[in-house]
Parts: sequence; C-alpha cells; structure tokens
Amino acid sequence: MRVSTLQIFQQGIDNMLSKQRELVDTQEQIATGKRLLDASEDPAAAARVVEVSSQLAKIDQFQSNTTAATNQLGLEESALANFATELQRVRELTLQANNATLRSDDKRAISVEISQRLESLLDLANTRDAAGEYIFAGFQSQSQPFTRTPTGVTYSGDDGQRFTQVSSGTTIQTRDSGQAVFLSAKAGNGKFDYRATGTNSGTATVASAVATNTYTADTYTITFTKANPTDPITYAVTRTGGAQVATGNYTAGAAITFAGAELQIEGTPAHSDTIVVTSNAKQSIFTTVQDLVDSFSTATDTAASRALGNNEASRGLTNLDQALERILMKQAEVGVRMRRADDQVDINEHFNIQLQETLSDLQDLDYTEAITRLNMQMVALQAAQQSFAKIQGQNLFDYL
Amino acid sequence: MGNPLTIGHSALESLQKAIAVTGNNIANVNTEGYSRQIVNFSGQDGGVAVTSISRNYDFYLSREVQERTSGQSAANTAKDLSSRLSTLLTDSATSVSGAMDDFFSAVQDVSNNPSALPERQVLLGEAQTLSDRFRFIDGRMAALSSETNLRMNTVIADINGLTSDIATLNKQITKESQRTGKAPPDLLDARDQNLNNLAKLVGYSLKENTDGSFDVTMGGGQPLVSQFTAYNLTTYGSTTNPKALSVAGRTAGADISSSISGGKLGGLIGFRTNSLDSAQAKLGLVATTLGASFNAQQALGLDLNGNAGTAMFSSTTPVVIPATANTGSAAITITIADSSALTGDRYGLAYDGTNWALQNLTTGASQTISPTATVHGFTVAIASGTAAAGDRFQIDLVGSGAADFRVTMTDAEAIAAAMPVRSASSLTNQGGGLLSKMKVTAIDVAPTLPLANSLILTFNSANNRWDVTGGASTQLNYTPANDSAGVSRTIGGLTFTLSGKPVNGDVITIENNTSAAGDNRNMLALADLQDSNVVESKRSFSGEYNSLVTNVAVASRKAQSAADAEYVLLKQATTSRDNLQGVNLEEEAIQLIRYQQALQAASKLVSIADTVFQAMLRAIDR
Repeated sequence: MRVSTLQIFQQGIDNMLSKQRELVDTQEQIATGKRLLDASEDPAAAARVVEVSSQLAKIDQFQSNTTAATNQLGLEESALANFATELQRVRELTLQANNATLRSDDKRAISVEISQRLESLLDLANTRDAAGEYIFAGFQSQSQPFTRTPTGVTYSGDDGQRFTQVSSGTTIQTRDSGQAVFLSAKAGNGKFDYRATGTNSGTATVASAVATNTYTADTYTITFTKANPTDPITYAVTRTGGAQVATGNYTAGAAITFAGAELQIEGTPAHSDTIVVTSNAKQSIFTTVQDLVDSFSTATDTAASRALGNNEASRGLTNLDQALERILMKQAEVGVRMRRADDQVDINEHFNIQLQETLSDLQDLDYTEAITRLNMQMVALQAAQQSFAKIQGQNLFDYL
Repeated sequence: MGNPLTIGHSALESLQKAIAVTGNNIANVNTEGYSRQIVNFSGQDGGVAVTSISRNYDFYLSREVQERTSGQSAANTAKDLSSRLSTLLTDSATSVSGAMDDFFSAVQDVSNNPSALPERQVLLGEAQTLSDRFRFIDGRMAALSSETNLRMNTVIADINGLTSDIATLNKQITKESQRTGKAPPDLLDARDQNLNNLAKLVGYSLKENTDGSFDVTMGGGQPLVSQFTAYNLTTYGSTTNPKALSVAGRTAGADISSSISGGKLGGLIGFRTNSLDSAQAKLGLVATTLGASFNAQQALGLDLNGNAGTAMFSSTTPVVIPATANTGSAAITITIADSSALTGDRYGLAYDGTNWALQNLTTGASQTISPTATVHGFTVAIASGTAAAGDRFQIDLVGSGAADFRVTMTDAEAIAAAMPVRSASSLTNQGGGLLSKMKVTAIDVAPTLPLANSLILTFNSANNRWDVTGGASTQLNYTPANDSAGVSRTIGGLTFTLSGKPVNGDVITIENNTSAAGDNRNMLALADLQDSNVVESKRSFSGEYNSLVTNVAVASRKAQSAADAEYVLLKQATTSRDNLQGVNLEEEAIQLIRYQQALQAASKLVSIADTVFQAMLRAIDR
C-alpha cells in the first residue's frame, strides 16, 4: 500500500507530540504529587475530593468546638468544686455553732465567718469566663446574675442553657444556669421545710421532719396552746385559709402527724408558739446560708433563743446537705459531659484519620508507579525520535 | 500509420506534460489537501496524446475525513471550555465549596461565644469572602458565556465566508466542466479544502449534483449551500435564555441551534447547553437558597442588642425580560416566595388574551396561572399596565443569584445568635415538668414575637394537660405517664418538647428573651443549615454545589473521551485519504525516471527519423 510522504512526516510528528504530552502530564503529576490534574480525568473522584475536604473542614471545626466546650466545662467544673469546698466549710461552722454549750458571742463570731463564706460563694456563682461572660447567668451572660441585698441574694439571670455542637447531630451542654445549679437545691426533706417562728418563747425544737407519699403540699402552721400554766400543752395544725387539719395533746418526742407529714418535736413549747411548714420544693443555696447568718448573728443566751438557734441550725444542716448534693450532682453531670467531649475528640480524630486516608487515596500519586511510567515514556519518546531520524533520511532522489 | 517524426513529436510533447505534472506533484508534496495528479495517456493514430489529468480522489474517503474533522473539532472545543470551567470550580483557591466550609465554621465559632464581637466580625468577614467567591465564579462563568457568544459569532462569520466561496467554486467547476468536459483538479482541490475547513467549524452533509456542484446541508435539513447559492447563518438573542445566542439559517428568527452538531459551532453550543447553562443556574440556585434560608433564620432570632434579626445577604432579584415583539404595557414582577421550592429551571410566561400560561422552559411543562399567583416557590404579579394577546416574558429566577449575593449586614452585633423567647420552670414547682428544645418556626403567627404577654403554662393534672394563659389561650395535652420521655408541642410559631412528671399547678413560663447575650440557640440553628437539605428540599448547599462540579467534570470528561476517540478516527480517516491522495516522493522519482527514459527514447526516434531522412536525401543527391 502506498504511503504519502507528507503522511510519513505527519505521523512522526503526531507520535512524538503525543508521547511528549504523556511525559509532560506524568512530570506534572510527579511535581504536584497529585494523581488528578483535572477534575475531568475522574469526575467521581473529584467530587469525592470536594466532599471529603468539606467533611475534613467540618471535623476541624468540631474539634475546635469540642475544645471550647471542654474549656467551658472545665471552668464550670472548678467553680463547682470550689463552691462545694466552701459549702463544706459552712457546714462545719454550722455544726460548730450547733453546740449546746456554745455562747452567743461565739455564735456571732461564727456568723461573721459564714457571712464571709457567703461572699466567696457569691463570687463563685458569679464566675466569668475568659470572654468576660458570667457562666451561671443563663442567657443573660453579660450582667452579673447574683447580687447580695440586705434581704438576701437575688438572681437576675434566667434558666437558659448553652449547647455546643461537637459532631454532626450531637450537641453537648456546656453551660448550666444559676437557677438550675444554685436555686434548685431541694428544700428540707424535698417536700417541705419547717421553721420555728422567731418570736417563740418556748424551747420546742424539731428533731425530725418526714414526708410520706400522701403529703399534700400547702403551708401549715402548728400552733401550741397552754392557756393556763396548769393546762396540758395542745397543738393545732391549720392550713392556708385557717382550716384545721390536725389537733391533739403535745407530748415531747412524739410525732405530730398531718396531711402526710410527720414532725417529731422535742422540748417545751410556750403558749402560742408556732412552727410553720412551707411546701417549697426548692430552696436557694444562698438563702440557706443567709438564714444561718441571720440566726447566729442574733443569738442570745436565753433558752428560747438557744432553741431557736438549734432549730435553725438543724434545718440549715438539712438544707446544706441538700445543697451539697445538688452541687455534687451538677459536678457529676459536668464530669460526664467532659467525658463525652473527650470521647468525641477521639471519635473525631479517628474519623479525621479515615478521611485523610480516603483523601490521600483519591488524590495522591503513587510515586513508584509514576516514576516507572516516566521512564517508560522517556524510552518510548527516544525510540520514536531515533526511528524517525533514521527513516526520513531514506529517499530515492539521493540516488538520482 | 503516421510518420516517425510526428510520432516522436507527440511523444515528446506528452512526456513533457507528464514530467511537468510529476514536478507539480513533487512541488505539492507538503500541500495540505492536495490530491496527487495523474496523467492519462492514450494511444492515437500516429503517436500519443494526454487525454486528461485526473486526481487521486475518493468522495467517501474525503467525506469520512470531513465528518471526523467536525466531530473532533466539536469535542475539542467543548473539552477546552468545559475543562476551563471545571478547573475554575474545583480549584481550591477559587472554590465556593471551601468558602462555604469556612463560612459555616465561623458560624460555629460564634455559637461557641455568642456575645464576643471578634467571632462575629470573623463571621461577617467570611460572609464577605463567600460573597466574593460566588461573584468571582459567576463573573468567570459570565466571561465564559460571552466568550462562547463571541466565538459563535466569529465562527459563523467564517462559515458564511466559506459557504459563499464554496457556492462560487461550485459555479466555476460546473462552468469549466461544461466547457472542457472535465473538471479542473485545482478547482476541485480548492473546493475540497474549503469543505475541510468548513468541517472544522460545523458538521454538515454533502450531496453531489449531476452538474458537479455540491449541496451542503446542516442537521435538520438546513441548507448552507444549494448549488450556486449560499445561505448565511445569523445569531440573535435567545428567547429562552437571556445569556445565550440562538442561530438562525435561511429563515430569519427560526432557532436551529438544537439541530447544529459538530465543528466548533456544535462544540460551543454543546458546551453551553450541557455544561455552562446548568452550572450557572445551579450556582445561582445555591447562592439564592443559601442567602434566603440564612436570612430567614436570621429573622427568627434576636441580635446582640435584643432586636429582631435582619438580613445578612441581599436577596436575589429574578430577571423578567419582555419579548421585543410585545404590544401590551404589562410589567411583570417576580418575587421569590420559598427558596427551597426553587429549581434552577427557566420559565416563560405567555398571555393569549384571556389566560396566562407559565411554561417551564427546561422541562417543557406548561400550566395556566392567574397572576398574582405563587407557584414553584415564586410569585408572579402584574406590577402595572395590561398585557396584550401574544405577549411573552422570559423569567430567569436564579440566574443572577450568585451575582446578587452580597453581604448587606455591616454591624457584627446584628448577627442574630439568640432566640426571641426563653422558658423557665417556676422554682416553686413541686413536680419535674421540663420544657426544652425550643424552636422558632415563625414570628408572625399568633402569639406574635416578641410576645406582648408571657405565656404561662400551668399543669392541670385532672385533665392531663398544660393550660396556656397570658399571651395565648390554649391547651397542650400531656399525660405524664405516657409523655414523660418527651413530646413535641406547638404554640403558634413556637415548637418545643415537654417532658418529665409535672404535678398539678406546676408552672412553666415562656417569656421574651431580653438581654440574652449568652444565648446561642439561633446560631446553632444557623449552623444546622449547613447540613440541612435546603436546595429543592433535597440537597444541602455543598451537595448541590458538588453535583454542579460533578456535572461539569462529567461533561468535560465526556468531551475529553470524545476528543480522544475522534482523534484516532480522524487520524485513520486522514491516513486512508492521504494514502490515496497524497504525494509519495519515491513514486514521483520513479515516474520521473520512467518519463525521462521515454523522453530519451522519443528523442532517439526523432533523431533516427532524421538520420533516415538524411540518408534518403544523400541517396537522391548521388
């Protein structure tokens, strides 16, 4: 078959150009370390690269979210730990003050220290983070949530909680509100709290207060009556509105039972002494401490004052125990969240490595293969060049 | 039988011609499209004569080359353009994907620290980068679009030049072959060369007429050359796509673009319809839905100063183009009602005197609407004037989405990180009823936000429900025994989960979220948009963008493999044709030797005739 002379040259050029093109592509692959020079070479892989890169960016963000979450939780953790320590100290002081032999001067001294501890507790409840936010203020994190006023400690925050996203679809709570932590400790036995009225002149003290399952929440007033010195002491329990729910003769150490509540009262109440049972389920920790300060700072050495002091101290101890339990529970919750955050870091890290591997498989060059290919292509180009140089020299006109 | 001298003379003359043709062949060894010429001798009474000079030529081999040339040229054009587009879309330095990732990262950072200004400032910066990136890509696509239009015009001017040359050559060839009985090879070569060049520009089919002229016809039967007449192609603004050009042939205004294939023109049109159009529409769609959904979530939140959230991005303004032939005065306005219902499709609106027909120009589906009407996520309204029968309008909903994607928010405090309401359980509650997972779905549904009065939820154990008083009056069924794990309940635009075991009289309050600098709930909702299926309610923003990138890459890949295949086919066709048509120097050298030898022999013949003649003369002299 005939071959046109132009064709011989054209083919030589085509062959060399295409081999050169392949060489240049391989060289570019080696220089960039990338398998794909253009999305069109492998559209599916290119799309995956975009997707995986996007996933990686997200994981990076989740890791930084988790770090932020861990920092927040760490801050709350240490605030709560310090708070618990301070509360313990208040509890010790209360026990100290509850000593029957203690003089009123000493009680007043103790009240001063408890008052100072209350300041520390407030400071801890007003903890701010690095950005200056009050961490126990709920959503209103720019203003100080707890303020001490002459009538007690007020809370101006709300019940807002903050969550942080730590992976797709998973959030971790990174902040608790002051309301949830400090205002929601159980009061008394969890159903009701009691308090001997400050004007009582007898020595009745509440030894135990138990709520049964049938307890009906309301405010009850136990009033003792001994109209004449020779009369027996009687009691009457009235609920809000004045309706009487229980009545009877008082026996020291015997339980007074009404509306599902059992109060064991000791000592000798005076005529018209009252004990008020309130049904608040929750009590502010600060109120608990403030009540102790108020009680001890006004102590005198009379029997009535002592009885009142005892009542306040034992009630305070119950409430302090509830407060401690509340704080410890929150500490545990924070601990669990920190643990979850740590686990998430590991999961994200693992996922990150997997994605990096996928990305590498998708776009990174196999150097061994590429360099072998480069050598083969160089040999092929050389062969094309040399053979072309040989055949193009052959021409009949040379012999004419 | 003629005498030797005459015979010798005819031989010398013919062979000289033959040597000249061989020389011409040698001279044209490197001429593209040259067909080797062959001298045809014929014996005559008393000598030899050159009856004709013919070409080594085969119609079908030439056609094959032309067809393959069209195919390769179309594939190469589409490949070059779509690979530029895919590089633009995937390059990490220009990719929208990376900018979206960074933007949502910044959203997350704000959610970690909602009251801090630096994080908010970074978010605004990332929003700006995202906007820049959208608009950069859109600008590059617009440049590619106008380049495509420009190249279409240039190619069409070239096509018109070539078809007019072919018509002229048709005429000359017919005339010459009528005069001499044989078409001159050089003119045939010239016409072939024009046809080869035309094949690079557009695909066509050929028909040879009996008079030797060629009819050149494009797809769909559109004539380019009919015997001696050439029909010009023209372009005009497309009536279905404001960014595109349509091509008209013999009949002005009749769009034949879709029937054009092959050549640069086919490649350009293919690139636009297969890659560019959908890429532009999808980019616009991503930008539109991202901007609209972000703004919508912003509007459901409260900013750092406690004000209702405002838009972060400008919204897409759909483009309405009235047809130039419209006689009515109606001005149509289109507004986007629900961005997640939008598709990237283009629409046309036509008025027939009584009804308005809305046609989806992408799918072809048509429906009757009566403006003002909301369909497919947008609202069609007649802003002013009245339409006349036959009036038409083009609607490009999201085509300008990426270009319109601008950051309008300037104050970082305006980022709405907080929710408009918060809830709290009363501290005096005896039970453990909880309200959590508050979501705001609308602020303009009663009770409108911000609340005029707080909503008080009081548990009513006798009826197993929460009684709502205050800002709204309703009841939420709740049976503690069954629902304590959590049930979703709704009041107006507020949706939340109730859980736990409340007791009678327990109170939960929902109130306006004042001074809530530390609230990040709306920020989390904004961050959630990243993975939500917002686009067409089916795909996330990055999913949609990814599919756009994949589409372009696949189109580019297809063009690439078509180009590779066509390259091989073209090479084979060219080799076949040139093996027949081309000049081989060895062959010509041998021909030269043959003719030289014959010439020498013929010269000898003349010389012998002369010797014989002289001998005769001498004999007479003696």
